[in-house]
Amino acid sequence: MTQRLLVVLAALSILAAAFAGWSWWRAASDESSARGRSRDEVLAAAGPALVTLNTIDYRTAAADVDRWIAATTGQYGKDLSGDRQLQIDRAVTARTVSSASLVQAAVTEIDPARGSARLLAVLDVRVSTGGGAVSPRLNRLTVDVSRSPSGWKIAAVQAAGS
Amino acid sequence: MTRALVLVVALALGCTAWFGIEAASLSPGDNQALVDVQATSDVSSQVSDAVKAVFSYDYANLPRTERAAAEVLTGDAVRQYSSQFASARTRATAEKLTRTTTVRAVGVRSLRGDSADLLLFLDQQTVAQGGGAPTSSVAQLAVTAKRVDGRWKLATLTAL
Repeated sequence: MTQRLLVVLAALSILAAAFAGWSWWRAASDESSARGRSRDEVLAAAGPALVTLNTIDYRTAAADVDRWIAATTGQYGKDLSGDRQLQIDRAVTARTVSSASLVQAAVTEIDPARGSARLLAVLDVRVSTGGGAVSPRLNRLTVDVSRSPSGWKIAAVQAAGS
Repeated sequence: MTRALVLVVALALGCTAWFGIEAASLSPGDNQALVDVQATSDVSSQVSDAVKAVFSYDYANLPRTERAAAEVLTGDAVRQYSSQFASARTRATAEKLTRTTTVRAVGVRSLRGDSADLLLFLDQQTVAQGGGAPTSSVAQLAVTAKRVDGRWKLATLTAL
């Protein structure tokens, strides 16, 4: 009697496991849910990366520019690496202090298979040079993001005609 | 035999729990923005058209803008907009202004059922009849849209 009950129980639990496995497989291979996951990953990565790219203090310029380079990928990252010393010198000469915060962002295009995405971002940037007053500025940006081995990174930033 | 069966049950239940957790962690949540491509493109284009219509006006035909506003605004946006448009209207008539608003870019931040949040980049060009070069300006707009009877309408408008 117990044995028969166990057989039924075993059959039922194997069915449950099969169903759960199927839902896992379906979720993993579903393209639209992959777009949703990538969308959230892109937003989570791009916001702080854009803030980093607009943050510099001439007293810590070298470390700040290294953080810019770490937040970027592709040609953009290479260009920044090539200009590293130029960027540092420029910040030191002008005594630039810049900080930023993300106002709002929205992903407009996403291709999880290719690992590319595009988003719109509005950034509040506060820049001061030569110890002068801070001038706040709202930047509206179109941003290309690419997936790199260490997560989503900024591949290009364009000011959207402001 | 009994032991083997107990083992099978335990293993199968363990797998069920594991697979279930994995499947749940892959779920993109209830935000359908970019997940449902057709719905995302519908809300983008309807909201863009609505924003273009309510933020464009011609001093010679202001009722057209007002009609558009009556059609595409809902909830808070009606009151928000009418106070803004009252002052724009006075200026437009006095200075004979024509304003054309175009949507440079639009992104859907969230899309849940009949409610959506969008971010729009607007370019505006204002021309004064018989005088002066056209002036250009840009604006960033956060919009909450609600679907009413199958049409997306603007429910709140926030300039960023």
